[in-house]
Amino acid sequence: MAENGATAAEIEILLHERVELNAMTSDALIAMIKRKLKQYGLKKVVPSNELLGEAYREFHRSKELREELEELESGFEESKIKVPKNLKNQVSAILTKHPDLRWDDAIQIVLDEDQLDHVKTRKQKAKAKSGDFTDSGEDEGGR
Amino acid sequence: MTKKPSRPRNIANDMIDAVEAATSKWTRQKKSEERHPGMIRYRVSRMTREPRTTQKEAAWQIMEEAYMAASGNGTLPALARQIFYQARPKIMELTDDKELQYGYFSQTLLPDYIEEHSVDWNVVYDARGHFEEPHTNRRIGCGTIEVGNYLHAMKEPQVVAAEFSDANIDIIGPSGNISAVLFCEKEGFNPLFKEVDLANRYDLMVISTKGVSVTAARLLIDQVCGGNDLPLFVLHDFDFDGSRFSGRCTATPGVISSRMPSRSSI
Repeated sequence: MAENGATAAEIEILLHERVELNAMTSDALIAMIKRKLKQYGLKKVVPSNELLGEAYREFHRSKELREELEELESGFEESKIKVPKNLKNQVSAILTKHPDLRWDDAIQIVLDEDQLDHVKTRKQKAKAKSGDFTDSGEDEGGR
Repeated sequence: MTKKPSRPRNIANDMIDAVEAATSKWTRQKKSEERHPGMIRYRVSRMTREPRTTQKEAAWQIMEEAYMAASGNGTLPALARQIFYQARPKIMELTDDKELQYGYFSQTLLPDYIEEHSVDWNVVYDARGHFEEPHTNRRIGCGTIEVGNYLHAMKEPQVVAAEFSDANIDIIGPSGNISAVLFCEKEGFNPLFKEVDLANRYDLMVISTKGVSVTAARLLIDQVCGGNDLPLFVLHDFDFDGSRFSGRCTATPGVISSRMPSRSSI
């Protein structure tokens, strides 16, 4: 136990007693964790001035862009489009060819077949963002 | 075993049934003595034994008290095992110290009590596995809370209209995100940590294993803590195995460790 960092006082107690985490009530456990973190003086993460500044500028740009797009959207009139009668067949054909896609991915490709790469890239990015990096490419899955 | 055909209902037959029911215990004892004469030694104890309190009866008496103690008077989620620890000594005391098994408590007594009493308790069972949806990348633990939340959130597909997406910060890993790592020796506390928003409030990466410091977890700690001068907090049982667990975790070069055994509850 000493080799694993236990103090003499802890070893003395451990020779006769043991306490399991599960024996603690939920409120007592949380109170102990918070007390220990406070004792250590743990602080919230605040990154470098450089990253803070970069994020600040980007959020400002995002805000202005959103305002601009909202204005554009309010005057936007979409062109009329008819739903193809054989949409189901087209979707089925795409899913047969690309079984890794879902039906809604296939609709985007029915609308514009050039969207295939975009759809696949987007799915890959979403997968990496969720924490699944199993088949992420060299340029994807990270920052 | 074939069931004895029931007699037609009349007063005579009812009297016979009543006498047979009242003397069935004695009949069983007498027959067993005829087959095995040595069984006579149990006659007095079998025929005069007072009915004992069963574990179920004991559990029904103390279950609410145990849950309230484990859950901070119902304000926080409580693991089935935490309730078990509160209930076990009380149930054993009421049942002549008969050993109470966790499996019987967690899989039978506790769920039966909740169902029978229709109580709205936040009881958490460990996630013993995961399930995963296709396409959405959702990977969810097969624990009580996770499954409950998922079932509650299920809905018919909804078409989301195209919209502009705001800028955001894409982060994976410790840089700009994590202030420390909390390594918990036990699985199952995550719902409790989520309830009090522990990870977000302290920018903690919470790692949990089932009692062993698995190689992958140690590699993760080595890279996240050792490679970034981040502190590691180890939450473990205050016993020999917990001490060894902590020792193994903190053997990583460069790790600033702060052990967090539950000694304060002693």
